[in-house]
Amino acid sequence: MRTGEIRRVIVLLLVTLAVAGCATMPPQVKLERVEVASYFPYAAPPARVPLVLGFVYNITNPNDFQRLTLEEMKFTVSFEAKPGEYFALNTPVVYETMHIPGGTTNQLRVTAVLDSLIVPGNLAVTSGTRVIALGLKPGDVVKEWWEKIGDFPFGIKVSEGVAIFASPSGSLLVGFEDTFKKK
Amino acid sequence: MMRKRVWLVVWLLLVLAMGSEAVAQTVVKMGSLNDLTGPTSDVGKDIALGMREAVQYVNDTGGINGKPIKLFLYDYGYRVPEAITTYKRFRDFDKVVAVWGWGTGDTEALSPTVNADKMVYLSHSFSSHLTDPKKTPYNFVYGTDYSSNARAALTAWYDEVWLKDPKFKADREKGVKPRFVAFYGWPVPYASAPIKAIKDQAKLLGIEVGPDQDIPLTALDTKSQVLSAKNFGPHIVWHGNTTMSVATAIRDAHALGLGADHIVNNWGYDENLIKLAGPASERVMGAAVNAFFGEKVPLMEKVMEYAKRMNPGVPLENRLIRTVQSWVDVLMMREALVRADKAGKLNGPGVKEAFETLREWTPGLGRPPVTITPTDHRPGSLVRVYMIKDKKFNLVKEVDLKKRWPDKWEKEWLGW
Repeated sequence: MRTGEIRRVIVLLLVTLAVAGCATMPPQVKLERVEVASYFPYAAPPARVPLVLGFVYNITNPNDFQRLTLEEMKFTVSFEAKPGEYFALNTPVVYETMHIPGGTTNQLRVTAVLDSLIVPGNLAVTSGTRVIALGLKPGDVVKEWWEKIGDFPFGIKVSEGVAIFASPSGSLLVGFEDTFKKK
Repeated sequence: MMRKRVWLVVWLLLVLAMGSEAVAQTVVKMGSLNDLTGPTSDVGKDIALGMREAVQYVNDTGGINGKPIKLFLYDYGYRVPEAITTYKRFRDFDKVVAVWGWGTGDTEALSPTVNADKMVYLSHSFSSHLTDPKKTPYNFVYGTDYSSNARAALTAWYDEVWLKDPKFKADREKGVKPRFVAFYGWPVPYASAPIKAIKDQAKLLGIEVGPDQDIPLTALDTKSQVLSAKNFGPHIVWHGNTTMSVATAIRDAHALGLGADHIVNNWGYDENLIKLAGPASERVMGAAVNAFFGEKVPLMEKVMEYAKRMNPGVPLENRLIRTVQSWVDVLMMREALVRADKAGKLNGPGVKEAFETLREWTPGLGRPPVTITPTDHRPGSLVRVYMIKDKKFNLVKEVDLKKRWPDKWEKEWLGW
């Protein structure tokens, strides 16, 4: 190989590195909607009634490059018990691999199950003091949530969200939070 | 034409080499069972955050001899059947090398299976039942076991408070024997695991044992149990639950004038206890298996850095000692995996053998040195016991059970 060609190889190498290392815009994770994925009517304890929810996310790759891959995603689900008072109930984590082409938006549905017998205990151990201070009874709150969920009269919040992507410039970590209310 | 082809090949090789790193690497798959929704989620959520952060740190610092860990972390809601189902997924589909487990009930329920499968199972449950390799060879724990914690906490209270504190001077001078009761969830395997041991320790120290009080993990009111205990007039109460119900009981005891001191197992003793119990938390003692979040100890800066980076939505002031525990858990497993991999045995028996080579090993983070042998899976005999003063944890005493009672440690106390 002649000197000129070696130079061209070096330039090509540098260009490749520059392209790969250039600023990557963070992907966007946006909660599109919450759906009741499967519904079982509420029944009082000791009955155990699941509430199956689907969280549909729009995940956008704003970059030109094609190789953006969602590797992992987690978020905390909170329900509103009184206006503005949210209680964390679950933290789903998913590991599905999803490739998102440049300039496009994919959708991901995360299914999460709540259990009418478990949620009151969860409320007691994680938020017992606040539950009492607000004059709420965990069992009553759960009954209301289970019975009215179809109309979404209360807010559902996703918070502490983190999505981890693989990209040409390495691992990307994107935080997100959002609230779903009936429009 | 030929040269153009050469250029094209060079370009493609460059692009492929840069992009195929993840594909080319071998990963070490690991499963983690966690409680994010159940009755121990008051402590379980912070543990789960810490697990993921610590795994990221491991991967950022070389993984397992260059191989990154691929973590599968799932909530099982503290339900034993779900834990068993998820374990099967880890074993049969994810094909994990080892498992990080959670509660005592599910860990003990899974123990026969993991031992038959030769699957190393490092749990957040520190039940003594998991520490005798003759019975549970593939079970390991990263913190001092519950029975050792209970024995040490009672001993520290006896030595440093009962024998010295002006509060009990009158009773001491009258020759009164100290009186003890236990508050815990009777049907909860975690809470009931060390009860036999702590009562044995009470007998050893000459302490009278009163009636146990059953307190659910989800209790928001414990007044009837406190009043029942009051009839016995205890000087010291052992709390065997997790933080929320421990705080409830300590608050109620304070309000109803129980007058006793309190000692708490490690899962009830964290930064939230001070927030939830308020002034009633003063003087409360407890065992901690490593440093509290933010303490100035080696590696804590990394713990805080990764907490901020990986979970920016969770304020640092809400993070707990549980995060630090997860780091100890992950780093202990990493050490075993690295040793097993170097020996060419990155499999169940190889990882088990590697754990059993740990001698005076510590990752920092305030974890006393860990020694594990083929005949004893208790990870150490030194327990640090703290007391809350002015809303802060202060080290009261380091109790080394093996040094103080060498014969009992060697011959009597293993496995219960």
